[in-house]
Parts: sequence; C-alpha cells; structure tokens
Amino acid sequence: MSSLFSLARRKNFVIFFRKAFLGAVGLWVLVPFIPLFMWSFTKSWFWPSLLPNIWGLRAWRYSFSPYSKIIEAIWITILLALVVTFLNIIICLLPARALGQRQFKRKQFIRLFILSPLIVPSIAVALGVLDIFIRLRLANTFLGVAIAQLIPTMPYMVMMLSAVFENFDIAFEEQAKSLGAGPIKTFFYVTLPMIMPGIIAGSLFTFLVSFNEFVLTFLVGGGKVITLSVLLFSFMGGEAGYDFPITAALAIIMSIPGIIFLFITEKAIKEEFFALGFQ
Amino acid sequence: MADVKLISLSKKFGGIYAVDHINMDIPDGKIIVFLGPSGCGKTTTLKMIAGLNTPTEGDILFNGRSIINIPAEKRNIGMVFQRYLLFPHMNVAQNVGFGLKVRNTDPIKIKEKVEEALKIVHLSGFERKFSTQLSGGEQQRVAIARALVINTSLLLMDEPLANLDTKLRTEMRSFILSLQRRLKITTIFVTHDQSEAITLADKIAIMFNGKIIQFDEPKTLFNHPISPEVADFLGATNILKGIVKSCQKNKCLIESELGETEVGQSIDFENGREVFFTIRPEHININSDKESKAKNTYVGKIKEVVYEGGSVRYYLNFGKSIVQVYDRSNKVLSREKYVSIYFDPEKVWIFPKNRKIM
Amino acid sequence: MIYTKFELKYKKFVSKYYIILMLIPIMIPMIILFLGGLISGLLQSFGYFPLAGLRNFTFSYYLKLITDKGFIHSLIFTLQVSVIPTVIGAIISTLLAFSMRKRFFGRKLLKFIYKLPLQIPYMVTIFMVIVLFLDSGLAARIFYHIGLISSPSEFPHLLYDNYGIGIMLVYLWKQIAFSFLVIYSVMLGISPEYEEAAKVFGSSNWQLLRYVYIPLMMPGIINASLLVFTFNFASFATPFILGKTYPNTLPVIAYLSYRNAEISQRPYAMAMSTIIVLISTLILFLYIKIGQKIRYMPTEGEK
Repeated sequence: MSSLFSLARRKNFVIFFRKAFLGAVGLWVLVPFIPLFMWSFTKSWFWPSLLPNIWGLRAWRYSFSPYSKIIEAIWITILLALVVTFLNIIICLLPARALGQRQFKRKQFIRLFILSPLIVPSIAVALGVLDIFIRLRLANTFLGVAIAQLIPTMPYMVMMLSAVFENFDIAFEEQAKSLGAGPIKTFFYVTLPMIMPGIIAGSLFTFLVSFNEFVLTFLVGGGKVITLSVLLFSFMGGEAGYDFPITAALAIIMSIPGIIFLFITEKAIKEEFFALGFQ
Repeated sequence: MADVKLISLSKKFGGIYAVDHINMDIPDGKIIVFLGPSGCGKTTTLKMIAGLNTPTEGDILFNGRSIINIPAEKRNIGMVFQRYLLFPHMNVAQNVGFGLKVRNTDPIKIKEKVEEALKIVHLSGFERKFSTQLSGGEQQRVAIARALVINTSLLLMDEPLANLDTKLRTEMRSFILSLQRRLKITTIFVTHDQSEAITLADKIAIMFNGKIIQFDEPKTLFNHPISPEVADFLGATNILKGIVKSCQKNKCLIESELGETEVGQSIDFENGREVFFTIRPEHININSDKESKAKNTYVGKIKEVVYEGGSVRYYLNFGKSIVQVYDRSNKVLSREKYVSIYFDPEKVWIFPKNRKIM
Repeated sequence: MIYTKFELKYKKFVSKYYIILMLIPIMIPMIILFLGGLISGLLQSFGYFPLAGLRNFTFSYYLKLITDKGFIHSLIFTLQVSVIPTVIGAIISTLLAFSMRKRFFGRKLLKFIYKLPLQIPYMVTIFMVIVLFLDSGLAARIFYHIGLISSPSEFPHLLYDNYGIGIMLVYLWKQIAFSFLVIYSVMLGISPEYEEAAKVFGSSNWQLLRYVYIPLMMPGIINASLLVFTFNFASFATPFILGKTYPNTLPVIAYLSYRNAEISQRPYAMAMSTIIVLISTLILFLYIKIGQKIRYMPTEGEK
C-alpha cells in the first residue's frame, strides 16, 4: 500500500521535473529576446530598474532615418545576399547535375570536398585568402566580399540542387527533345521548372548564410563593406557607453530573416537539414 | 511519306553490341512491331531512330536521306514512352501544344491544333487538367495526342501500354490500331508482349540479343517461325527434337520421342540430320480411343490436366519431352489415363534454322 | 540542320569529359579560394612568403609557437572554452531529446523554439549576453532586487574575464539548437519497443535512459559533440568581442598576430591558423571513425 503511494508521488515528481526542465530550456532560449525588445523601445533606462525608466521610439526612429547607417547596411546586406545567391545558382547548377545524375570514380571524395567548407574553420581560410584578394584588388570591395561568401554557401546550394537532380528523370528532357525542343528551350521550359523547388531551397539557405555571415565579410571587407553584422560589431566595439537602444533595434532587425526562414522551412525541409544550418 | 531504312545499325556499349547490325526496310503507313524479351535492344534501336542515342555504326535513312547527323529535336519524329512523361508543371493543353510552342507556332493556331488532337484521342474538354488528375489511360492518350500534333510522319512507341491494367490495355490497343488506320502514320511499336504484337502489327520484327531474327507478317511468324527461339517466344510450346528419316518433294518423315511423324513440308535437310520441329497445342487432337488410324497418332499417358473454363490443357510425357494439347471439345479426360493424340502433317513445322533453345 | 563536323567533334569531346567539364564551375572557386587560402596559409607557416622576401622551408615557427607560454595558455583557454559548453550542451540536449520522445501537447512548439538559436546570428547572441550579464546588466539588476548585491561592481565579472564565461554562455545558447537537432533525430531512430520491454521489467524512466537510450544514442551524441566542439574551437567573432586581450582563443590571436605584427612575422599567424585547421581536421577524423563504430545493443533486462 505505502509503496503504491510513493510510486505515484515519484511519478508525479518525474512528470513535474520533466515539464519544468523542458520549460526552463524553452525559457532559456526565449528570455534573452526580452531585454532586446525592451532596450529597443527605451528612451532612458538606468541602474537599477528592471524596466526602462522612460519608454520611447527614439531608437527605431533613428534606425530608419536616412542618417543612420542602418538603412544603408540593410540594403548592402540584402544586395550582397542576393548577388551571392544568384552567383551560387549559376555556379552550382552544372556540378549539382553531375553529382545528382551520374556515378563516377571518387564521387564520394568530391562530394566531401565540396562540403568541407562547412567544417573547416573560416578564420583559417579567411587569413589565407586575404593575400590573394589583396593582390587581385578585391579586398575591401563589395565584389570581393561576394566572392568570398561563396565559400560557405556553395555547399548548401550544391546539396539542395543535387538532391533535386537525383530525383529528376532525364527522360523528360528526351521527351522534350523528341518534340522539337533544342537544349536551351528544353532547359527553360522543362528542366528549370521541374528543379525549381531545389533552387528555392538552396536560395533560402544561401541567402540566410550570407545575411548572417561575419568573419569573411569583416576580414575581406576590411570594415569597408558594412553589412548588418559588421555594423552590429562596430556598435559593440567599445566596452561601455555605446548606444544600447539602437544596438538592440539593430539586433532585432538582424534576427528577422532567421525567424522567417524557420517558419518557411518548418513546413518543408526535414530536421536533419537544419543541423547543417549551424553557423 | 515516311519510309525508313535501317542499314547495319549498331550500338555498342563497352565491348558488347546492344544492337547488332540491324538491317530493315520499314514500309510507309504501316505498323511495325519490335517484339522481344527485355534487354534485347528494341528500345535502344527506337531511341536511335528518334535521335536520342547515337549509333556506333550504321545508318538510318528517312525517305532516302541519312538522318544520323540530324539532332533529335530536328527530326520531327513523334515519340511516346512507357512512362507517358507528361510534363507535371503543365496542363494537358500545354503538354499537347508543347511541340508547336517550341516551333514558335502562333498561339491561336496552337489552340486550334490542340483541340483537334484532343478530339482525335477522345479527350476534348481536358485542356486544363493536370497529369495528376488523369487516369493511366487518359495520360497515355494525352501523350499520343502530344506526339501527333506536330504533324509527324513517323510515330515511335516504346511499350506505351505496359503500365496499364489488362482491360485498359486491350481498349488502348484497339484505340491505337484504329487511330493508325485512320491517320496512316508509319508507326514503330515496341513491346515484349506477343499477343499485343500480333494484334497490332502489320509486320513483326523479332529481336533477340540485338539482332533481328525474323521480320514477317504475324501469320507467317505464327505458323512458320524460323527458329525454336522465335516459336517459343510466340507461345508455341511444343518444341521437339527429331532426326530426319527421309525427305521427298512435299513430305518428310521424322523420328522423335513421339515415334515416326509425317510432315507436310518440303525442306532440303539430309537424312540423319537433327532438327527441331513444332506442333501447336491447339492443332493436336486428343481422344480416349487408342486405336485411331489417323496419320501421326501416338499413344501416351496424361500427366497433368489444367482446366481453363471452356477448354482444357493436357500435358503428356513422351520420353523426356512434354507435349501440350489444347482441347475445346468439352470432353474431360483424367490423369494417368492412356489416350491417343494425332495431328495433321500440314500443321507440323520444321524449323529452317535450328538453334538450341536457351 | 545537320551537325557539322565541328559540332560532332564537340559533342564527342563533351561526352567524354562530361564529368570534369560539369564540375569545373564549382572547382574553380573551390580550388582558388578555398584550397588556395589553406595552402597559402600553410606555405607561409613554413616560412615561404615571397612577398616578404622569405623563401625558407622550416618548422622553426611552429617550434617557437609550441614552446611559447602565451600560445600554450591560449590553446588551453580555447580548449577550455570549447569543451565545457559542448559537454553541458550534450547533456542538456540528450535529456531534452529523451523527454520529447513521446508526443504531448506543445511538443511541436517547443521543437520550434529549440531550433531558433540556429538561425540567429552570433552577433545578436553576443549582444544578448552583454545586455544580460554586463556588470550593470539585467541579471545584475535582478540580483540587486533580490538583495544579493548592492552595486554593479559587486556582480561577478562574467564578460571580458579570465574564464571566458561570457563566451561559453554564447556558445551554449547557440549550440543547444544544433546538438538537440542531431541527438533528437538519432533518438527518433530508436524503436519504442525497447521502452515497452523495459517497462515490463519494471524499470524507471531514469534507468531506461541510462541503460537503453544513452548507449544507443551514444555515437550520435558523440558525433554531435565533436561537431559542436569544432565550431566552438574555430569560432572567431565571439571571443573577439567578449574576450580579454590575454588570454584569448587561438582564432583571435591568429587574427591579431596577422593584423598587428610586421610582415616578416606573418608565418607565426599562419602557423596558428594551420594548427587550428589541424585540430579541426583531427576532430573530423574522429567523427568519421566513430561513425563507423558498431553501435552496441543493450540487454533486455534492466537493473
């Protein structure tokens, strides 16, 4: 009798503990956003209050005003991401087709090689290429950063595109040919629409990786190509006395694409792919 | 007008000939069927005619002109595959009109022709549907319409009915047949199904291992197959080995496990020569009267009886050979019974080419 | 239109070298930028640096580094700061995955939340940690209101400190998403029948976890941890902002050495950079080896 009692109590404790644990981790993830929001809506907030003393939209208004660097940084970051995505599609299309459709010697090895930038420390690659970029006069330029950003993004695009190509039956292209379509028409009317899901998935990943990227942009761009992450970095340069509200607003802006990305892919891509989005 | 000639057409993969020096004249306006087991090279041949495969040797003539160096997209040949291959991102009208679109035809004309084509295949009104909304037979008909709309003079079909269920297959078969008769388009049809071949073909080319073994009208193939392989493939299951006893003008005597058989065929094989011969199960008579006096009568024991609802198949052993008899006379003879079988000498066929059956 | 002789030759050439031709578009940037960067760094680390007039080939830079106290301290610091969050993260992720093995209300939402840190840029996380744990930050203010401290200076220095606690907090926040994802998907592969069998034998959840799930998930846990460790180890932005000048992590001192030292001292920076790559490659190697390890099966009886 008494053992039954303590069993029930133990079970309740376990259930409680589990729920508390899960909730705690969830909070651990979400809670840090709260001060971010609060700071962005702060006019002044000083020690030791737990809430802003004076609320205000100053930070947001400033952020979107023409003389803040934020709007410009937003444009550059987005433009950069779009350029990198576009370049990636062009570069990765043919290799992905070869990987997805054909078998050849050392295919595993080549695949691993193409994916290796995901593992190899980007600091090492950055320091190494810097000289090359300087010599090619690409250092501190937008184009240089775009090219540098190819390194961490190509693996994603190739992965996504080769996956669609694996499932693409080239018999469709043969059928199109027999109906009179030359190679170009076949590609645009038949192949491209059918691999579009892969292009979209690859583009989403590439865009996000480029958007969030810091090390290469900072090193190759030399601080002259000011993306949002470089800007945020510059805001945090000094230890004290920098403008928390504006920094907070910037941080929130920077988080938006990531959250949108999560929502979009929640429907589509499987969980295993997520693990590779880690930066 | 489309008269197609294959001259020593070959395709080599690695060191092996998938298609081995094929020579063929394909008459205009007829249906030719390539018949053979999987892997015999019939699809490869078809693809070479379409231009989707490059021959390693030989030539293909279209109305007297070589088309080997003409790319597939310029050959104006209609092709229908086994998997229909309807473009999934286009609706029926766009699929059917595809060939015209890539030829930069006027959109209004395209609409007209698509309507026409859909009418021919009895799918009017299906313009806006997508392939996922269509049944197998409907998809197949869209694929056919798509191939027809480009005004081609040669239609190639690669086992298009393989994915359909039996009833639909039969329906589609007669559909294709009547279509071809009406439009008089030269058609090359590939299949491994012999009953399909016999139903559709004006002439059948039997292919084994990349070579064409026999190219004849179905009737000839059926009654006078050139070799045991061909006969076997066409379902002539009684293939027996024998030795020529004597041969005269229109008569031959053969000694086999059955006994002595008279054959009403004139061949010039020397005495003592080993031959293969066949007699179709439906041409053998069977009855319980062991004393029959007809020519080619043999007594044997029934080993197996298979009822097929309206007809019966009997299997008898003669030595190591099994003879199959197909009887529709409503008699029922039981196993282990001794019966006599007999058949007309005219119905026996000695193979001109004797190759061992695999 | 008939193919001309030239076109036929072209077609033949293309089909013969198809694979190579198709791979060229990606191989060019990969080889020039990626391999080029790594090899350039490698050569420079051996003293071959024509631009600065160095044309040696020597291990001396490496030797000097390995014997340099500052370097060793940084190496230890880097390892420290990388390993601790990895281990903690692995434990938490395993517990999380285990607790989520059965459906319950809100599970989907929780999974979404746990995935969030993956897509948030490091910069943002760094700022979060600053806001929270600065001496005058939010955590400090909470402490004040609870009565633990009375002024900012009494709050323990978590950032810019000798232990890299701020750095580790950033890593922990970011990487739980990754290790959770990997470990969770590994856990999904474990048949629920084990649990049923275990329950029949009367084992508790804890025993189920300890004697069944953990052994089965161990290769996955280790793999996830190796990857996470590598990411942490090679991370640059976080220690650059939150770390003190000394000691700091290898990537940071490699960068500083590159930027601040004279060009003739460049090989040192490259040697550090190469060491970082070597360690990462070593980990990758371990990762592959463990992936080939046979998973071990638990016995049916618990206790």
